[in-house]
Amino acid sequence: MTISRRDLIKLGVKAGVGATLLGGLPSQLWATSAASEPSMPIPITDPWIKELALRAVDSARSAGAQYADVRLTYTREKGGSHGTVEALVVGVRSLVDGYWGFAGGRLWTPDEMARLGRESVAQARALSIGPVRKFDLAAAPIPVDEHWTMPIEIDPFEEVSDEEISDFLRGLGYFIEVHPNFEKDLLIARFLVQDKAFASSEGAYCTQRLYRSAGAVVAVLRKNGQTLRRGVDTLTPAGLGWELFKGQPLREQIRRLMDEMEEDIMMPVKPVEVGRYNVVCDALTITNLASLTLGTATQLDRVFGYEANASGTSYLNDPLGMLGSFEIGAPLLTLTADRSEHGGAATVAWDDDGVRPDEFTLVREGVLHDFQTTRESAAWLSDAYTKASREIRSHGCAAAPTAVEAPLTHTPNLRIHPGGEALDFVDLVSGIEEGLAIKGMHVDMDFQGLNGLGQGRVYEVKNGKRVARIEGAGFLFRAPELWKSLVALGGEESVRRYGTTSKKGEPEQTMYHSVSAPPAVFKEFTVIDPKRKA
Amino acid sequence: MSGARKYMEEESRILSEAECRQILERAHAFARGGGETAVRIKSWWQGELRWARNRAALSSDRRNVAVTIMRKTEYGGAGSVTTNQVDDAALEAAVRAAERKSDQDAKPNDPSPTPMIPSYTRQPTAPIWSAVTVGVDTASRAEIARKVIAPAEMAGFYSAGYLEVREAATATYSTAYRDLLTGEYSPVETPYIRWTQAQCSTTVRDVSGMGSGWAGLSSYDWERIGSECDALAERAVQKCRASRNPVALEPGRYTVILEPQAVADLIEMLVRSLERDRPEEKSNRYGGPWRLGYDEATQLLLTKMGLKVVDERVTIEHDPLDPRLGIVMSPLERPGPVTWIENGVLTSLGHSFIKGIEELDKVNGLHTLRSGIGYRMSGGETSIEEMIRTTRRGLLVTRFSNMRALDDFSSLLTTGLTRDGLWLIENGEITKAVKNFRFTESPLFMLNNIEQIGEAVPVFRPTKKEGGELTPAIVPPIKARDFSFTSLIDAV
Amino acid sequence: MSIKQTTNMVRVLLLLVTATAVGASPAAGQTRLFEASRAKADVSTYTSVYDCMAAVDRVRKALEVEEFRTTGVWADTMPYDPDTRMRPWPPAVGETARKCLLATAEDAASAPLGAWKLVANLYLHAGMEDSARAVVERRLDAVEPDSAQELKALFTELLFLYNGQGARWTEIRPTRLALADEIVLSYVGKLSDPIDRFVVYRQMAITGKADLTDDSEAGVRTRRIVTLLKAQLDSLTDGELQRWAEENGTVGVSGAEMRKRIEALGATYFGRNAMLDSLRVSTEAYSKIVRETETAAWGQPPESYSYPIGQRAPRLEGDIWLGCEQDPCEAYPRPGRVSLVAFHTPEVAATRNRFELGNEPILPSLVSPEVGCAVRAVPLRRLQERFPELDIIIVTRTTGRYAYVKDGTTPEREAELLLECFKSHGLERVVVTMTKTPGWRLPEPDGRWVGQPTANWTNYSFGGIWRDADRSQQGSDLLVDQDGYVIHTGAGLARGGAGAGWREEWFAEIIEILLEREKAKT
Repeated sequence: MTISRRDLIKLGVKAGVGATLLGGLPSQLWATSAASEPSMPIPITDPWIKELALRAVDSARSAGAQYADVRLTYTREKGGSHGTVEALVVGVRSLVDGYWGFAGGRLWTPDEMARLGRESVAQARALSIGPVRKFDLAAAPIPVDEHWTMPIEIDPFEEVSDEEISDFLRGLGYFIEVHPNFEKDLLIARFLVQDKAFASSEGAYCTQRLYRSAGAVVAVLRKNGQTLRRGVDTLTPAGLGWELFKGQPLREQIRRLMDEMEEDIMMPVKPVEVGRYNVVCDALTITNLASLTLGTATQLDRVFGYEANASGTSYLNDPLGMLGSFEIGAPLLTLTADRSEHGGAATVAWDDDGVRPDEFTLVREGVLHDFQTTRESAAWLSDAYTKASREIRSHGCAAAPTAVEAPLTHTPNLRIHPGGEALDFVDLVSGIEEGLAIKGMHVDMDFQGLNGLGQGRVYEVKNGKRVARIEGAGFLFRAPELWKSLVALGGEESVRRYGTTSKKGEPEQTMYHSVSAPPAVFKEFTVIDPKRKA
Repeated sequence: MSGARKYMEEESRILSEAECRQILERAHAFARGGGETAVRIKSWWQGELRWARNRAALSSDRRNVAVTIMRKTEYGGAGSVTTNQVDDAALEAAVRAAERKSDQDAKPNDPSPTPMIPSYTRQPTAPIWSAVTVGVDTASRAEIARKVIAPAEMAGFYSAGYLEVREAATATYSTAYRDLLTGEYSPVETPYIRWTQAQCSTTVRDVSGMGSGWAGLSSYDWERIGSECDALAERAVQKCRASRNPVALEPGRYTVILEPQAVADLIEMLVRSLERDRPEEKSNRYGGPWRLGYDEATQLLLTKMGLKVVDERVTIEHDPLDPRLGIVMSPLERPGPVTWIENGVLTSLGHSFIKGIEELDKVNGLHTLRSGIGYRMSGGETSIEEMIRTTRRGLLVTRFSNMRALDDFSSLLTTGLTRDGLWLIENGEITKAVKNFRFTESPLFMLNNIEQIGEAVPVFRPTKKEGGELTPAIVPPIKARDFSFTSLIDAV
Repeated sequence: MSIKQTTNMVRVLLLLVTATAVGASPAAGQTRLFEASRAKADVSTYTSVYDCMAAVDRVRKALEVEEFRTTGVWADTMPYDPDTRMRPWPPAVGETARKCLLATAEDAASAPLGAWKLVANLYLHAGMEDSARAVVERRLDAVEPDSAQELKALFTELLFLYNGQGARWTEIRPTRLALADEIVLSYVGKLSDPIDRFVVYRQMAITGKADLTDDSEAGVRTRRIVTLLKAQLDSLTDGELQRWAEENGTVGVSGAEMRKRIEALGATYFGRNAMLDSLRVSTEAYSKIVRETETAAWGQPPESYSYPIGQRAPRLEGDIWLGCEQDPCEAYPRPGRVSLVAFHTPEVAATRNRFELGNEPILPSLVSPEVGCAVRAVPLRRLQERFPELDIIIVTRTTGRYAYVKDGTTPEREAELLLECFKSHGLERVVVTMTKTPGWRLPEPDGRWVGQPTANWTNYSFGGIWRDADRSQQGSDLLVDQDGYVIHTGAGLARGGAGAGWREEWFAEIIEILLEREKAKT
């Protein structure tokens, strides 16, 4: 039968009518075809969830796993490019004779837990017919029935309505547009909440609720024939709730952004002059550099070649030899990592090994001090750690976007420690007689975190003032030289935190982390025209 | 293959056609407030094995679904949500959520009559589902990995790699415009399509990290890869051995011999750009590498259609019947083969069903025209050995990595790195391994400086997305002049 | 015992044992998939006037949606009501503004001057006219003594504001021009140049203008302002007028001539009734006075008038005629009938579909393809309902496709589909004339096809004086009287929007007179 749409309008399509359109399907058909078990994500703290988790671990153990763990995640997203998304997934990881097996699925049912447990062992066993592999997991305190909720102020899913969020965003648009020559562009607010349960055959059981918020506010300035399009940089991903938007003077920041755009659009524009310059970098630039060079190169799995066939390896290619002695940068460079930092995009109470992350030092006064580790990889350094009479422990860097993806070493929240003097970007610029200043540099790195090319908003600096915009400048560098040429850092006050992403693995995973850094000055930074061919 | 039989016996790892159909029916049964319901379903399974340092690192079996449910209530706008739970409770909750969104934005239903969709005859396509692929079970994957690792271990090198087989299905069903349905070629519904993909790649590094070699292959059908595994392993080992202790060369313009993989890496951005600008991009008057710019007189964006854009030896096309090029074709897709570039001349550009409409004046009929999802590039007779022999001074490139467009609007100018094997050729012979370079070059420029072309072969071009669709490619090695290397990279 | 039963039992036990250990017990309520947030938007917690304005917009839209859901009637499809702007929004709109304003940090004395218009608009919604005035006056006081330009611009903006027009956000209802007048008049003294004051009075008169003879409130106001305007004009010397003309690029025109033009312009602005009276007499009289006054206002000879008013409507051509009740169809517009000749191009419809797309990821299957005529059909339908004897003729041309149908599309098919489209929107009696669009191809390699205007489009440009015929975005309409003379033109009767409604109203007025005139004859 065919009904024209106009007929439908006349009828005023009701669900019933729609159903008859499906060829008058007998209702039993779908009524009886209801899927197996109801999938109610009752609070992650509910004993029922623990039941499921333990069932998976037990089934793996009884199938022969020497170690097994399970993760269940219930992830909700809204405001992003995929709209409103909710997903329940589970993944079981088993260790048999030193080989890992992993099985992931989407059903939170006892039967599926049992199946995944068995499957993960089957996966591992298929590998373990080879020589038994000596395998240690670095010891870690075992969480027992602990729960942690990321300390946010306003839950973007339960404590604020979508209406209020859209009022706020539209309001920002109005704010931009009451300023002459300005138009609003992007106005975005993205939120994620992930409930996560972890259990291991060592008796660990913990649950946590993690949040991530991010946004974009972009303004366009059209003036004397030019167009500038820029966004605030204070809404990058963070482990916060709605307070990311409400908790900071956003309109004030937008006004400052617009002032700078007005200032810039009046500046003369110059072509790039290839050469070597002293360069002042803003905090965002430093965070990008730190994340993509040191943040990548100190992932221990990369160092050991586990990423060789994917995102690459590391220029820190002799971990045991370099640890504690290798000069990775200037003495004023100190880089620490901390997945328990409040508001960090990589912040958790327990990582995907069930380890409570600690704050640890990757670079101490220019010297390589440690690597990003998991329970598996920490053990690889046991000799070096013992020699330095340091504790052999994981720093809690095991992570994956959801439970259906197997944990990998992902970059934790990073922090470049500020200099002693209370200097900010402007102060640093005023210290430069002749050179360049760069804001918001993004960086292309090679597959070892070694050689890079950076591009961003570049200014000519004369006698401590930004006097012109430089078009099309590119910054060419090797990580070791770059960090050794670090001559000044901004003070505590000038430190900014930005959330960013990194990709790795096969299949590829994208994870978030925060980087805090002050603005800084490098000497003899090589500047090229990246569009000019050889 | 026993694995295949085993699969046939065990129950499917992805949603069946009937299950997908029922999801729409069940969702629509939960609907309140009248109007229409639609669902888009993607279901996938992946069997994966990762190894490093000559040892398997992880073997995994994973599956998931993504169901986007859209509701347009009688007085509502379009609202949709996505879930991976399809039991009644979850479906009903999702339908309610979609309706809440729909209600936020009420609109009158527009009674404008919509004409019947032209129906298309079914297009014969090469198979995209392989029982062999789904039959590569956990044990076989481990066995294959060992075979690939062995030669590297023997040579005292470290082997790392990844092996994956996957099966996926997709379908879009709707209750809307039932009178417009013309079976599987309606834009309202897309048929249940099921496909497989297999990939295997390995990187062999010398223990001191001073040399690195890579080889890889992907196809819908494991059979095509399985037979090549030994060769892959051998090539990676040989490249690693030969690439050790590289010397630094001055950046500059070199004659390059690009292996098929390097060519594929370089022209990826070009291939992806082989489609018409989307209408909303028209504001960018000079947008797109295939535009000639804006003509004030006619008020039209002139295209390079019909112009010679690259060397006449270059043809880039797709034939759905080519057994090496089976892809997941969208309904209403232009029947038969597509040629984007023929003997160097730009002959057609991909466009989508509705969006392409303004530019269809030259196209016969109305349909989606593929852009380079899967493609085949014409080849020649010259072997790589011959290319080397006839080169006085040049570089042999294994593959490119970390590519980024510097100017994707006109010239496709790209920057990126050489990786896993770069050698200097002097007087017809490979003389030494060379440190990696960063290059700054346009694929258009390279394709206009061709000296020799070799035989086109399947390359490594799997989709990265979980459950993502097939993207096969057949590409020749190319010898080209004046390739611009701009700086030295000492990463190995 | 099945696994489920077992686990459920264990679960119950665990509840008792571990409820404290794990903190929350399920009694705390289950998180259901896709649970709606319990939070509601509470404007009394809002902190800025910008959010308040957005909230007002949202509440107004929600009420519109609610009305649509209960009545099933979409506002755009209702007959246009000229008094709309005088009718207040539902109370909830004002309440939202009031509640929200009380919460914000800003008050009338501290509100950011850059946002004076938004803030004043908000106060007016809240019914806090004094606060609105305070903000406006703060802004006016901030003007430097010597910047007359700025002051004049502000006057115009605040007149628009109080007249509920020209804003991106929800405009005020009802309009409150009297208040705007008070403010302007109390500040106009700041302008030392009498010309400037004249310009301000003119702006006041134009904003919310009515006919001088109207006894409506607006009429009274207009009379008052026009008196001021006249007095100001009389106080100006010819020298001043000439200087003003030159400042505005009109060189070589005497002050006396300017005075004439201004008076003529006044007639076109405020003398519409007089013109309509002349229409009651005859089309000739009407078109004469329209031509003369409007051209006089620009100091041009009547024959240079750039609208075809009073000209004979060219005979329509068509390769295909549908719904035609006359033989030959080319006789349209028919003698003895009032005809509305509506030029319709597919581009007009193409914009229609947008309303189906929100910010959602859209499944193509629920978005109807780019077809439609709703934009044009709705107002035309309303006119037809009011004037059953009106002939409506859709003049269109081929595009080589209809919606996504391109294969085998013939002019006949295109015409049929278009007619069906108009009918589906309730336009029961309509004539469609479809012409094959002539065109040419770009030279190879491009070879694209470029369309040319059809004979109808050319003929209805009346020798190039009238360009509206090919306004592709709105379409265009001509009203033709019973004797075949063009009596009125408009660029696109679009659905919705004050402007469109206003155009629709003028068409209606004239049609009414034409029909009465005919009756009177017999």
